[in-house]
Amino acid sequence: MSSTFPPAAAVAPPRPKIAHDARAAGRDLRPLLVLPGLAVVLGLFCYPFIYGLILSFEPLEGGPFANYIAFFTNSRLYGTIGTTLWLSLPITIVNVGLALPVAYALRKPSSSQRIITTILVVPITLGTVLAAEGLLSYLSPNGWMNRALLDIGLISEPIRLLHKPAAVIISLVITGFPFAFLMMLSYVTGIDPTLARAAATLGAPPHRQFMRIYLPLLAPGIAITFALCFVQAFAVFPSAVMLGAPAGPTRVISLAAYEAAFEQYDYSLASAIAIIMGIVQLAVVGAVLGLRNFAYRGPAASGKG
Amino acid sequence: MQAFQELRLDHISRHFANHAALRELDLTIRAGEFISLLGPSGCGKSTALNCIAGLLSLTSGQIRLDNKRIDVLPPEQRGFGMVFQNYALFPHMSVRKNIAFGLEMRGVGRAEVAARVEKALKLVRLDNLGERLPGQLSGGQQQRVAIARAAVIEPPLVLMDEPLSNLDAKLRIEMRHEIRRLHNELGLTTIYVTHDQDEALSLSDRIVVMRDGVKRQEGTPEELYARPQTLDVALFMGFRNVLEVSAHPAGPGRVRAETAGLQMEGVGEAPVGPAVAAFRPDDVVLTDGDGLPAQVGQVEYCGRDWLADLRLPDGRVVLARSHLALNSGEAVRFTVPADRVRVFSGDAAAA
Repeated sequence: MSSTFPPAAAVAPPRPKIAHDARAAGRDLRPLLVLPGLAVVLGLFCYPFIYGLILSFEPLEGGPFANYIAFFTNSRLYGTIGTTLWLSLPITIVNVGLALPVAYALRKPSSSQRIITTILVVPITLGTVLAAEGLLSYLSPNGWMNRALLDIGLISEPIRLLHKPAAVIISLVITGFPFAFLMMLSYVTGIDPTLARAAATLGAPPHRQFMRIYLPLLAPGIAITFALCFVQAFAVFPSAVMLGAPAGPTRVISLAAYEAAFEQYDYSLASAIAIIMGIVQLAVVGAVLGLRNFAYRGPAASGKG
Repeated sequence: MQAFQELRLDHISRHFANHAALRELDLTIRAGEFISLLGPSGCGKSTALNCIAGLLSLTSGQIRLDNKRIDVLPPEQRGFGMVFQNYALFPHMSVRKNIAFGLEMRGVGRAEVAARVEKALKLVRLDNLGERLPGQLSGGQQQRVAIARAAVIEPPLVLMDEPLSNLDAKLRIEMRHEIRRLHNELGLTTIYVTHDQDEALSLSDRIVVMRDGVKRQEGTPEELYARPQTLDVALFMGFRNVLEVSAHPAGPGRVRAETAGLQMEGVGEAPVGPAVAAFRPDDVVLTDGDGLPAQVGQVEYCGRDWLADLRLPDGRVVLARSHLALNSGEAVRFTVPADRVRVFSGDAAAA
């Protein structure tokens, strides 16, 4: 840095007196403002990550790769990747797939847009544990849903949804959909509505306005929303334990890591599982963002308007 | 062009909640005409245009293209080309694809689309920029693309919503010329919305001046420039000097206007009583002998001439254009030719 930017005082023409005291002294101290932020990132993100990475190569017994070998040879461990993907990918597709049309339908500012947005913010603020807790009593054989359906006479015996993947899926939609919706809404409303009007005057009926104008402009936003929703769903833990069948069909990867760390006290194996989990997430997110590159990514307004 | 005789707006109105943006507009546009809707912002001119395009539904009234009622059709079935204030070019499509869009929506064959797009590009002088994205073009170039995109579908009507208001002054005059050239070369029928009287005067065959959702006056540019019928139209057409006077009819169509001991003559039908006299700064003539006495106030240099405040003895200010340099504080006398003064009954506050 110092070789490309010689001390400002040496080359700079006379500057206004008040500001730039530090520069005038030959030293610009402003880059130091980055330090607190850097400290937080290094201390709270980089250090734990690197620590975990190293730890994963220091197994309790065996060579440095013993944990990874153990993971990929034990179906109770490597199987969690498939289980988690099998839960999280469909849920993400459902969440984004529902959020897009709903956000599109609500793209014009209106009282219904405000009301629905407000209602959907609530599940996000509750958090997954509370939502799972609520579902636990709502869906239980004696819960509101079954009692109501029984009383109406629609069903003759309670529907059993708890402790099956279905309950996990429902809870992940309840917490994930609002997030996907709010993200999609901000992308949809960021598109200049006169573009669709222009398309209409040029002869495009509503479905073609959507396919030719909105969808291509939304593609990058859909990719980002998908990536963020996927990462959230892939890291599912509370609802898989509380609502699902953690012994089998909803034995997700975060659960395997939890068991390794807090039941077997094998932090090294737990770290390895966490690293593998991160790599799978990165692979999916990378693939989605790679697809995004095929889409137009400039501003979604019309030129200099 | 799709042949048609006329577009008739039959007492069309549009209300938003409890506010009438457009009231009972009655207007006939003949094929080949260039017609401007002129007025300040909020006068209903853009509302009218959007109603014609089908982007807003009518609260009442009808729109007919010859004998076909079109106000019930969605915009994509009306087939009018529209040029938007912010151009509304599709940012993810190349210039060529933008222009081709309307043709593709009409199911025109590929080869013909390519040929017509090429022709349109030549017409707006952008032949070498066909592959660019709109974001890579200047404002003036984007404007041309927007016009080409609207015109290439050969619509019966081209609707333009303040298309020049985002351009700088020099480019605006250039594009103004360009728009009229395209209108003539392509034999378009154009409805043009603007708040700029110069634009309306220079472009139009006919001007409709609007205010508060109501048509105030309709006529050729010459008629509107020389003979505004109401004070608000006069103000909008550049009659910047308004003096409260008392009127005395002086022969057919003539009025003698008196104010604070000063006398002037003007054109109008005002009866005896309070009235206002309006005239342009350009029509003020500085004289040696006769005329109203005044003292020169602030002077602005405008290149060709000077624009000066003339302070009357009672403190009121008249704006005057002068080809001679004036000095602040100088005592002068001025007159305004009687046929350049328009006298309206009522008082200035009503405008």
